[in-house]
Amino acid sequence: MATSKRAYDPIDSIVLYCYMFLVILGIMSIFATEFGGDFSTDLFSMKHSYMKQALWAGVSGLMFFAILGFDRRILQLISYPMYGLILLLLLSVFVLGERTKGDQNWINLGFFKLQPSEFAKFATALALAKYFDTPNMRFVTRKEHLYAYAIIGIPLLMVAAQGDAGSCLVFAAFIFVLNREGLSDLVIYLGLYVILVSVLALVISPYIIIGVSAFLFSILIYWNWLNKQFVKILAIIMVGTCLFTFSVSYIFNNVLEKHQRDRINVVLGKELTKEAKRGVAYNLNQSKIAIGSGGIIGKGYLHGTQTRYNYVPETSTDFIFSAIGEEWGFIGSLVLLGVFVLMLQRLLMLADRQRSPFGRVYMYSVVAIIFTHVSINIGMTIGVLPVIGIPLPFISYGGSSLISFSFMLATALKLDSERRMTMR
Amino acid sequence: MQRGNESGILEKAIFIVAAVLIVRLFFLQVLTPGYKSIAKDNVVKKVTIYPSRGLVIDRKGKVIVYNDAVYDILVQCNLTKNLDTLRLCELLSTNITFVRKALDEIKRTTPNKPTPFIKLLDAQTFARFQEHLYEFPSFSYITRTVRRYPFRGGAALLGYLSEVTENNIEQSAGYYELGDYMGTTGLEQYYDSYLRGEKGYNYQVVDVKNTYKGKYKDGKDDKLPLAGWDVVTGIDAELQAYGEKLMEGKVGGIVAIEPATGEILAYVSSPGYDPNLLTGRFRRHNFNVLYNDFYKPLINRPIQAMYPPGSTFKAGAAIVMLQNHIHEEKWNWFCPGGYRVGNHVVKCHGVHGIPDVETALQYSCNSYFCKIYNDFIMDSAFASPAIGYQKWWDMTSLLGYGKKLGIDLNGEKKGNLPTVKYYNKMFGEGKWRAASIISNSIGQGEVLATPLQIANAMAIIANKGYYITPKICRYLVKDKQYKTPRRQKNETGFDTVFFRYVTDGLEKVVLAGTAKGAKIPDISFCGKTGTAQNPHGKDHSIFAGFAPKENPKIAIAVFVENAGFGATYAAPIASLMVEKYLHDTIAKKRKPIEERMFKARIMKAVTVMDSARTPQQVMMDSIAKIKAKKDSVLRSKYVQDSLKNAKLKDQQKKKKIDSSRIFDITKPNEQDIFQE
Repeated sequence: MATSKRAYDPIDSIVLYCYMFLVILGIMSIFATEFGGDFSTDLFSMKHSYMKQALWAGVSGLMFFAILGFDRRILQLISYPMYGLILLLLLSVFVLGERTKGDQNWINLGFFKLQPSEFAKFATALALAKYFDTPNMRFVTRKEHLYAYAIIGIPLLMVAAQGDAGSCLVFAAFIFVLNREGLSDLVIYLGLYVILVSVLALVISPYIIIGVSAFLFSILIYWNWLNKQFVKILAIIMVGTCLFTFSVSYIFNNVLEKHQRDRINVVLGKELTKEAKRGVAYNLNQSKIAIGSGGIIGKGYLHGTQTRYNYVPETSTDFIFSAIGEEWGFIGSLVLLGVFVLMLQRLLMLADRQRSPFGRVYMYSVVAIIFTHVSINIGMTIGVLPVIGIPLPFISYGGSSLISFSFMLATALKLDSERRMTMR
Repeated sequence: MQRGNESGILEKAIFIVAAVLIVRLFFLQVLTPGYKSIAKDNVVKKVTIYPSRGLVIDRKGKVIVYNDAVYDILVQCNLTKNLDTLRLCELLSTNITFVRKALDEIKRTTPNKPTPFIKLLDAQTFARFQEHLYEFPSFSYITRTVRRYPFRGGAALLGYLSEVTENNIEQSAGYYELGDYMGTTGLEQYYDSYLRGEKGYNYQVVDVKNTYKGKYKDGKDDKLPLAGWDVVTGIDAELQAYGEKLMEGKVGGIVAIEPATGEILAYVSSPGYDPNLLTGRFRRHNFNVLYNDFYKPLINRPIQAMYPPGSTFKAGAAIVMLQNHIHEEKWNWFCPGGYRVGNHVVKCHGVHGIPDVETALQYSCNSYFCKIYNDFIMDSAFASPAIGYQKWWDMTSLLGYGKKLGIDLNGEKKGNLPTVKYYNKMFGEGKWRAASIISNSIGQGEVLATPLQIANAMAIIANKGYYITPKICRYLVKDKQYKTPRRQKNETGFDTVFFRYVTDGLEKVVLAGTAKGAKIPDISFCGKTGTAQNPHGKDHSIFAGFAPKENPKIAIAVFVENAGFGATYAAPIASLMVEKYLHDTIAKKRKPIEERMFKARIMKAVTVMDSARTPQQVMMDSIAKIKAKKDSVLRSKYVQDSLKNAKLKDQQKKKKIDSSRIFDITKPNEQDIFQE
């Protein structure tokens, strides 16, 4: 019930401050990677990335206020049309798209390189929220499941077809949202199991995996053999594991592209081709050197050598964390991670106090998207995950990324501030 | 209203992933220390600034070695536009194929930074190019230095620089780096740590494309180079050049020492070469030519060639005899024209009547010196010849034979003053007597000495009993700081009085003895000729002496390989050197001698490089000789007849020279018969 005094609360300041912190840190870091050390040159020329990023930050700020001015009903109203529009845009990428580094995901608008996949995440989150807001939606019937999977699956397949593995993983992370809405935990555990088996299948012989898992399963069955249901599920998983284990190497060698294979091999520490050694392995190593050389307190702002003198590639976009790790050290990395964790946990808190499924599902989606971005991006710069072209939210240089994340966050905050308006 | 799953998996996942990332970051940033230095090595480029190497200066202040600027022309290929290659060739005096090839190579390897395109360009060509440098904006240059030798001589003395090896780098304790040059022979090597100065460094920050980005730490760690110390030597550059001119076309060496100070005045190794050949662009090629030359110009003959000292050894032998009171100075011995030991005769080159020590020296009487040597070793005071020989050895070695003198050059050889052990090995213990090794008395047999040792022995006689360790360097100087190498005075322990007799004898050698032709007007020149037999050909011509008799200023040894009698070449050369040094000019009446010496070309007589015989080889030769002798004795009365039958011997000797490249032990030979 809305209080009589105020129709809505002010927007959540913790998330807002985190957001502002991250955007400013982003512009500063882009400046650090680009600034040549000479103050006499034209610092404010729009040809510099950091100036463009500042401009996009300004645009994002304006949108933030615009969205806060919207009625939440408008958001609900535009959910499906926007989803449809984005799907069309994603489709058009196949025709109009430009390829960068093998990924086909840009549309050149002249003044702006549009990345529809960035906006697709936002639109999908809205559409999913809208679907769960349908009256009498319980997320129990097969039909309800199917629709929910479709909303996530269609853009997922499209970005996958474009070779955008990062966005693909982000869409896969919507599984957390479905889990919140009632999908069994087992699905997530199964997902982890699949990942584990895939990694093991690439590192060691599939026969060993099958042997070991068969041994473990038979012990489990021996303990619970009276539980027919349990035995049946385990048997299915066992058969699935066998099939999957053998298909992993096939997928690895035939479905994945060469650069993707190299990136995975680097992380798994496998033997590399000469080309990979000079390419992806070199880049990753330079990134690790940059972060490692930062030490505990870092080299100081504008004193990072690895990132400022281009030893690390793509320092303003995907590898921006290298610059932060190098210049601000372990303490800076800790603060950055802390801010992200604070923001995400706060968003989850906000989500759980939503009265409507719309707000809750939407905010869970936002958390899942940002979480996936942050963990993959930082994970790749320090060599725990393969190199996947995915920006660090709010920090990496890129208009599409900054605007779409700002949009996402502004919408979440707007929904939260108006949560008491919902009648349900 | 709440619904659905409250397990909070996402919440936990966020914490878990954050924790994993933090652990990994902690590992990378806190626990692994190596990354800082890797990152530094990535961006910081150390640019070496080479100091100017110290000069070498002669005793009168003339510069013998200086540094000359040469230029490396650099090109940064990514900046070249519309390059006029033909004009470039014209200005740099090169051909177009070379230029194209060099440019292509640079384009392929390092297009982003200035790269040497022509190295060590001489100043003249460079000056012409520099005027037109503005036409080639992507070209630049750096100045480098090479060593220059204005006297074009003294190569063996000065040495040369060459690129450092892995070994040198290790030994230099981090000073040298790959591609540096260091002195590897001669003075350049011995005083390298002074001459080289200290390298300076600039630390530059470069980006991934090696483009200069600024100074590292604002140049706080940069270091200016420090110039090297100059080496002031005792060498008289003009005397040195004169000596080299005299030795042209001859194989051998000259060493001249100032007896009072031990300073080396001249140091000639012949054949020499122009040291400028081993600098600059064609160094490698020239080195190979010199290295493969038959006459081995790279051997440092004054300290590395070991020759039998021949009769020059007798001056020392006389001192040893007198000091030990074997015989008094006026003691006479009848020379019948030879000295007979067993069935073996050491021939004298004439019948000398009844010489005393002075006359024996004057005429170089072999039998006199064989006799006193025999009397010394076989003296009844000694229990065995070995003990007597040991005593003789002890005293002779005091004269500087058989040991390194400690000159400031590396590679000095010890010569060979055979030890008791050496003879025990050669003959078997107790199986030898003075007669077995009688040749030592006249500087033949197994005795070997370097020209430096012979000159030094003369310095001892000139000093009447002591020598200063010979040194080339007088002092090192830098910015009015001085360093003087230690001058060690070595007392020999011989009584001064005995030197008078020997000095008088040596004076007579020049006045009326074997070296009459070497007389110098107004200078009392004392010396001793020597004619050293060797198994490889014509005798070596040797002369050692000092002048003036009172208050000697110069002691000298001259060695000319396979040149015959000591009086033929070595003595005139020595006398000219002494005259040049003391009088600065050559007297008019001696000009023809000078002319004859300049013109003499006797290198062709040298068939085998005798310069590098080791004591082991000498022993092998001697053993072979003894075997052959026994053989011949068995077959005929060859040796006994030889004294009566001089003509026959001469003929056979000629044959021997023709075919004596390699010693043949089956042939009878008469090498044991010595001349002079």
